[in-house]
Amino acid sequence: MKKIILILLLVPLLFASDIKTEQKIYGLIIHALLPQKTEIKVWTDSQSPKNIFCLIKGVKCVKNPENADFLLLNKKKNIQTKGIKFATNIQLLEAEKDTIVGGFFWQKGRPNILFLRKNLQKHNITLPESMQEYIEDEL
Amino acid sequence: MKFFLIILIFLSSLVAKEELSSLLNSYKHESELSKITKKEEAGIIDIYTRHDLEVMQAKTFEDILKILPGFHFTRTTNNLMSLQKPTTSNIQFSSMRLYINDHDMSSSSFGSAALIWGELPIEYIDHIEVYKGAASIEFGNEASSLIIKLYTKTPEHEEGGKVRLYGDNTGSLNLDTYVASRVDKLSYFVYANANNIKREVYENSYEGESYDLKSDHSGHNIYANLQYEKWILELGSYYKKSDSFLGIGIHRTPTGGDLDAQHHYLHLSKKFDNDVKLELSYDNLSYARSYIDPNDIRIANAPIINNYNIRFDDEILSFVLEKKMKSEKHSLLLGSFYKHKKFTENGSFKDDLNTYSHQNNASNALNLYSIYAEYVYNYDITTRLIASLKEDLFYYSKVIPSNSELSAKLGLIKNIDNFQIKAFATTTYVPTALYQLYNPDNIPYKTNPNLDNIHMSIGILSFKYTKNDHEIKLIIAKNYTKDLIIYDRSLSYGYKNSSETKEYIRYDLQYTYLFNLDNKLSIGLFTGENSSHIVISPKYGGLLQLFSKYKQFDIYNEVTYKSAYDYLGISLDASLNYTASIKYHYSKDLSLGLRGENIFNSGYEQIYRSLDFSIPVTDQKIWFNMEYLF
Repeated sequence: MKKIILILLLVPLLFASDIKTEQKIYGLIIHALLPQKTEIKVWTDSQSPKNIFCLIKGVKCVKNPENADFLLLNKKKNIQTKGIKFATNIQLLEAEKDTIVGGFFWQKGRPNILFLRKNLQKHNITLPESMQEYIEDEL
Repeated sequence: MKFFLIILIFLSSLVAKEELSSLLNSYKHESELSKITKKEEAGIIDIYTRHDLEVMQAKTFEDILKILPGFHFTRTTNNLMSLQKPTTSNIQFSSMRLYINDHDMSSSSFGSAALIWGELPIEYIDHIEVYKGAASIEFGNEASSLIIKLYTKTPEHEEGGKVRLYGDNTGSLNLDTYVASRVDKLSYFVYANANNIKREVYENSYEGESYDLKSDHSGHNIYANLQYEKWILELGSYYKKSDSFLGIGIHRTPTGGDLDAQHHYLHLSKKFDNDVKLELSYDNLSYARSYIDPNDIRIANAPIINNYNIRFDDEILSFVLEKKMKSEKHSLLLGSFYKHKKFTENGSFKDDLNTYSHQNNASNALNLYSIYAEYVYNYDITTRLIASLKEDLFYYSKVIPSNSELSAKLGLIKNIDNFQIKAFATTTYVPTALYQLYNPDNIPYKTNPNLDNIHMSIGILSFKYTKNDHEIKLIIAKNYTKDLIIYDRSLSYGYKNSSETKEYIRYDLQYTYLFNLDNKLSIGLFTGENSSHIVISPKYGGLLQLFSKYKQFDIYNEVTYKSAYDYLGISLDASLNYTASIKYHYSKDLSLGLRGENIFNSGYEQIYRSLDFSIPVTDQKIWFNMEYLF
């Protein structure tokens, strides 16, 4: 219950600021995956979305992937970390489907969000009701 | 408190759910590729986004040409699509230039792509940009005043595949399919199409006999886009076969004849890190025409014939190099290109009695060199100045004298609060097509190797006012055209340049209201007047479009209006062409649709010389459409 209340409190904060749609989407995803954290440490191997991330409320970008709570991955495979891994393309999501919790990527001409149930369970993550429709058992 | 909390959680959950799906929808709209590719400094732009094309259930390039503001869409006697400016006849084919991504689709022989690509199925096209009054400098290619850019779907966005099948109530059938993926550093998008389109058959009577005027067409198209790091290789192969409609006989009484055309091309490009862009391309085209008319075809320098066969083969080799330099205030594009265009013509002409027969073979080649520069100065955040220059040098292998042409453009884009003003002054030319310059036998038509290019001076003013979700735009364009090419059969060399300068003024008013991202109303009115005050096409045109979404349904309504006109002794009333479509999204991946065209059979009709009735440009049809993503 606390997690949900925290998301509810964070969501208005996210939308209050004049940030881009992509940031808003990532903001919703990050805070839904790590609802208990007020400051989330994020690492990414992708150059382009780095700035998008660092401006999200409650997010702090870190240089070392081992220190990250959340890793946004575009290319890098087999990173050994306890953090939550999230992909920006479908190929990486397929390659890392045993460990990665989900992805936000383009497929079939449209942007998609997808969470893998078994990997959410491995991290003991319960997504809010509003995001249940994006959970899949398999790719 | 507990009850209040439950209610709060429930409501917030609904908001978040709505929020994420609507954010994804907003993101999709914001990520439209047209936002990246459009060039404001190139001229006046009309953009047809992917969303527009999908809701319209657009099938072919023609579906866009039909609604192009400022033009009437029509077709020629031999079944080619064409455009008319209000009050005037068909525009010169070579004044419109078509690109697929950065590749110029024009043929050497005709200087235009309209002859082959007019009915192009566009399922592999992401969006379409139409530039008016451009000098073509910005696109690093040959001169033209109307530039249409078709941008293909990209491997990055399309991962997966699609099948689209549509057909109509007359038995037409079209199949499109594509796949896209990435393997390590290689991305690819591969598309294939096959089509067989039936059209209304009209009848013409002559001396008690009835002749069918057919205009069916069929063909196939293959396109591949391969990307490796910053290299892009495109391959295209399009084949089209179509009936000859009225043909070119004196009495419009065809008993056969067709067009058999194909265009294959390769285009390799690379953007280097230092903003240098390199493009290499090769085109191979053929265009074979036959006309059969038992009641005589008139050609130059020969008696009356009944069988007309002509084939043009083109090869084009092109090399483009560009460098961009950019600072906060200044932007400079320097470019050059070289093109080698080879053109071969083979003809065979005879009468039914075998009393006359002639064959001709001719070939020529053009080496075209061009250098160009475009400078953009951002005076402040509201003011942008544009200046561009281009010099083209033409060297022919045979007979045709070498020549050069200079194109120049000055432009201003100024934003004042909710207003945007665009002003462009362009001086450019329309390159003369090789078929008009070289044909040593002067059969079946006469040519003039000393023909000058058509020269144009274009002034365009555009005022745009935007407030909240309303946008209103007024465009005023004035053209001065000199050296117009006229065909005069009484002259020994046929084509000549007119000594008269023609003026043309066009007014275009457009209003758009965006209810939200998925619901849009667009209304446009346009008119034009030529200096000779002769009216041979409707003086006024209008367009209403309504894009709507209701639950799982995409709904589209379109009405085109053309005013009444008289031509060749035939009077036509004003016309309204109503087109509507509805698409049901059964799931994210499967949709089913219906599209009705010219629903009340009251659309624009074309009057043709030597035909005592008019013919609708668009058939009355119902299309069934199925799309499946995998």
